[in-house]
Amino acid sequence: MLFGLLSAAFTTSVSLEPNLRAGAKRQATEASGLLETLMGDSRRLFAQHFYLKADAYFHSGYYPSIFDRKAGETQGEAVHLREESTRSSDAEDHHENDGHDHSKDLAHKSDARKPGMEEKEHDDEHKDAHDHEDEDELKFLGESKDWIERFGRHFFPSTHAHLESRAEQNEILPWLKLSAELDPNKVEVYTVSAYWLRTRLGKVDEAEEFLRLGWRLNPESHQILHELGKLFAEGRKDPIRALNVLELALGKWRSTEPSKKEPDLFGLQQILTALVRLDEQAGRWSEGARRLQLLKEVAADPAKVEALRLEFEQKAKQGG
Amino acid sequence: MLRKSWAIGGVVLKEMTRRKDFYVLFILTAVLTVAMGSVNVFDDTRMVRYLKELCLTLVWLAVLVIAVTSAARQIPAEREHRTIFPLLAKPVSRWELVLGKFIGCFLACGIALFVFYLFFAIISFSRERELFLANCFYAFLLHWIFCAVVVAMTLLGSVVLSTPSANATLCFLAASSILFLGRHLKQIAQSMHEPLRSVLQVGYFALPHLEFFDIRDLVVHNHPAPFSAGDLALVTGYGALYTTFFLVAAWAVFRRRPLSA
Repeated sequence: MLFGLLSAAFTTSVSLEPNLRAGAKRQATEASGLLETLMGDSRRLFAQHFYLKADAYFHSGYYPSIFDRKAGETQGEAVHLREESTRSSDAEDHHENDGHDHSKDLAHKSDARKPGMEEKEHDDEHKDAHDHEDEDELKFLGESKDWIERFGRHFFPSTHAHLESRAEQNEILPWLKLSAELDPNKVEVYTVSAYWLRTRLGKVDEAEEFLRLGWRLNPESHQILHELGKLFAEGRKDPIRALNVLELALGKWRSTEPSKKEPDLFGLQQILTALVRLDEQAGRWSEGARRLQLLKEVAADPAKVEALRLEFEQKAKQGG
Repeated sequence: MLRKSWAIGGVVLKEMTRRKDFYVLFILTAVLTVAMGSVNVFDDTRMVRYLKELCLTLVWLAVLVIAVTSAARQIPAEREHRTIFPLLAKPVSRWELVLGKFIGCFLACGIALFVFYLFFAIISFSRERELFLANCFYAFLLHWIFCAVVVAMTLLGSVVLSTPSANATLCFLAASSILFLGRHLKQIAQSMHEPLRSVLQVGYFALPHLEFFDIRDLVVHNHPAPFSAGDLALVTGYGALYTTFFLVAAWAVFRRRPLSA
């Protein structure tokens, strides 16, 4: 009888186990669906709020509120995290595009190193231009108009500052992660977070994992693929994988952007520039020249790009 | 006069320790803070500012609830239970009663704040491995002055409005609105048409700027306190001025009201 009971117990547990596992999975899916059902599109509002929170943390609490923004400026435009990540990438590699101001400073977008210019000079010039723009944009407080405003500034952060040390820069991550969880389709969060994880905090594995999560949820995103390509190139020092991923990014751009009213030309420039950099490192001069031809069509300063393309062609001929 | 008010305040304080409000709110704050502190963010345990911000936000919410709910029921409860008659027959003047209720609620808020900020300091120190004691002290002090203004405002509401719940709701909304919008009221007024613009501009100068007492951003981001001892004295005086105004207004209304509910 004991043996019979044991057999019955074993049989029951074996037959129930798959159902319980399926139930647990369903629960997890329903839970996330429940959050979506309960919060609806307000999740995206909160996601945007927490993304801006990360930017506010980057500035140690000194940040304009919705009442401080200039007329016509939306919340999304004042995100310096993204601009800082793009600016810092430019400082690392002079072929990278400058994303700080799309409309005004197109010369930087496909900026090749000026002949004869030392690296440090270029960095300093770049940094000064950005710092100046940062200060202008964040002088939102202005002169105080009455004693209440003047007195009140003693009780909140009222000077512009950035987080400098690694330990401090860590502090923006919880808000970025929360923003990604609330709005998984906000591509920018994945790319900015991955940049900070990879370059400032030395967490390449975590950056890759986060980008892959973003890619799973946004399979058509060329921005995430571009960042993943940079991770392989700069973080993992794996140019072959980087090349494959960046070419995939280029393919995604070609399949998604041209049909849009305003295609993301800056994204295209970034992808092409990254590919050109890899071609330069590998000595693939012909391929690099071909990509520079494509880049010339969208660059603000085609002359500079053309000069570089000729340089590449020259090297290709010399190489034979 | 003060002796009687202190005695009434002592009774209020003892009553507050018997109620569950503080304990429930403290446990809730502690559990939420510890839970958020255990969240894995990219395998890094050194992040602390988000935790400090969450903790301080919960502390502000909790103490605001304690201040408003405790002050809102003081005088209405005395009238409802008819204990106000023997109290005023002692004799205790209406001013002494109002002042005593204020002292009791104010001290209760102070004790609650002390416990909350002690918890906050422990959490901060456990993650950051250093303690910005000056910031914590200023935050505690300014928060306590904020409570004084809110308690006084709620006591005024308790003698003006008919029910404690309506009073509590209005005071809670008023305090929250001033905290979030007070600094920007003038900017908001600029985008309005008359007469709302004038009303908001008058409100900007007339209402107590409770945001002066909120230095959470300075504490969270470890900014050294940018105000001097003189500024601290000024803001304390500012808080004391509004507290006195609300208490005197509460007394002025209360002395004209019938004692029966």
